[in-house]
Amino acid sequence: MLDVYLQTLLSGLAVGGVYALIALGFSITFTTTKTLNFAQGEFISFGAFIGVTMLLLLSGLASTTTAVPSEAASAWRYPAAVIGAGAVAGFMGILIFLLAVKPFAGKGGMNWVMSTLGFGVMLQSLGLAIWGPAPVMVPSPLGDNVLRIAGAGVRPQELLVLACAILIMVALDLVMRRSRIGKAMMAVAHSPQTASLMGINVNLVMIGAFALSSGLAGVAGVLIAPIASASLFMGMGFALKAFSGAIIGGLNNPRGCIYGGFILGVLESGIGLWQAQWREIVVFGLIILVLAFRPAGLFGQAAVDKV
Amino acid sequence: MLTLKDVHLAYGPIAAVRSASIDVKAGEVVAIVGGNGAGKSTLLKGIAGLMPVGSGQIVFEGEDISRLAPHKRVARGIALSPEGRQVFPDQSVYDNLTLGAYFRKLPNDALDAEVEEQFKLFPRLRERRDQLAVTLSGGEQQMLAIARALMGKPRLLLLDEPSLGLAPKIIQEIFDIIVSLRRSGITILLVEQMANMALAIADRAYVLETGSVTLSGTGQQLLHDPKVRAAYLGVSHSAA
Repeated sequence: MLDVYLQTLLSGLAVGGVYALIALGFSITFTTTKTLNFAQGEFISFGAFIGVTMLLLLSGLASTTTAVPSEAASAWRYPAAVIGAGAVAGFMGILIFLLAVKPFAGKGGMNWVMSTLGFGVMLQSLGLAIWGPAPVMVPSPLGDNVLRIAGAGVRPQELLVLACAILIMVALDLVMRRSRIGKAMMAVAHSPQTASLMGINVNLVMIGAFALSSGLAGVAGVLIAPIASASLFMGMGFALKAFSGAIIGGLNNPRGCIYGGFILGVLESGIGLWQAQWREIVVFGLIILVLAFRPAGLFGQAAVDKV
Repeated sequence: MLTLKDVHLAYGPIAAVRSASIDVKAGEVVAIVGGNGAGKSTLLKGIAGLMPVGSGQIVFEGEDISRLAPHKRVARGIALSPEGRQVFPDQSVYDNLTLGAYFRKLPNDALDAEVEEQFKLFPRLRERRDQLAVTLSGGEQQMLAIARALMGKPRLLLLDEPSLGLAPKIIQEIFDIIVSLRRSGITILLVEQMANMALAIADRAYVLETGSVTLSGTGQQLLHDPKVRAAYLGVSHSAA
């Protein structure tokens, strides 16, 4: 029985790692610009398909198919696809900031909600025109042979996802806390006006925040594709869960969002073990419960009005 | 060094500063005094670039900077120690100071040397070096805000209400530091509600009333002006 729990925990952590990456992305734009990219789900799907396209092109295959052959993901091609998808999604993040967020940010009102949602719908239609509606099976670069860890069966991709997610988040955490650019980002997060008095180009930091946040979504898409298979409709569900994770953890606390993502992944997987059909009901019920008692999230700081 | 020509500043439809013309010469301490809501802080925000200039011109060292983004004005040599201090609460005293020099892209050892200079000027900050700014007292936060502005090596330092909410003893300390800064050659534009103290150290001063400059003169002239004494100094301070 213990092996089943371990298996559930590991796959929960793997999916949770993906939620955490995306949740961190939400937190990055929220803290620096007080806005969220509601097209994040489409960035995940787009990332997955850019990854698929790169895998196929790099191995000299046709650019559309319903299943990527496993040799196409081998060796250096998968890491290249992850980085490529992150870069393309990051670039699209700059576009969405300049076109759909900047004109409305900091002016009050919720126009950016509609404009980022709309950007997402446009992206999805564009994706359907390029890749079509059919999901694409994506092989794991580590193969599909189930590994046995203390009796628990684990797919190698799950371990890869978990390792990549942790690596990326630890690296980002170090950059945010130790480097000058990280401290400048923290300054912008606290007060864009005061940050500009330090000679910080606030606009550039905000562009960087959107690029980083969207890049994380793109990377998450390629990481999860071998587990969930790539589909232009996959992103929405992941983005919603990741957003819930961010809310549970506290949107204004990047570390809290990471914890929130992991908590949600493990919870979901644990409840799925018990009653799969109750999974969503219990998960979102818990989110509402958490918010009722801790409106700023488990790890968030309640906003204190300054005198 | 700094000339404001007929500057208008507004919050949406509400005018905060009307047709203000102000002159600051290199090496001077110039004070702007006036009551609550007179537009003093708005004026400094306009100079720092935090408020868009509606009409008029801000000329710094011969160049029109009216449309320049705030971070570019800092790079030109204008630093603002803002009203209410606005230190970064979740960062250490040391990190707050280094942020003040962010745009200068100094190597680490040069940065440390400049932080050390600020610690000489504000010894209390040295004791608090690794504490989060939020844990400092009001006076210490004010010192940090001024030191952080100085880290940008400004030629013009804008000080917005440095006495706000502080005990008299601390206010005296802050003003002593302002006087010593002037001796080191920094030009200072000081906005204060404590008119008596500001006028006492100012070479020249302007009185701002509901967004307009109504009086100007040397610090001593305004200090002894009957209208100023009645409006801003109160009878008990008139002995000065």
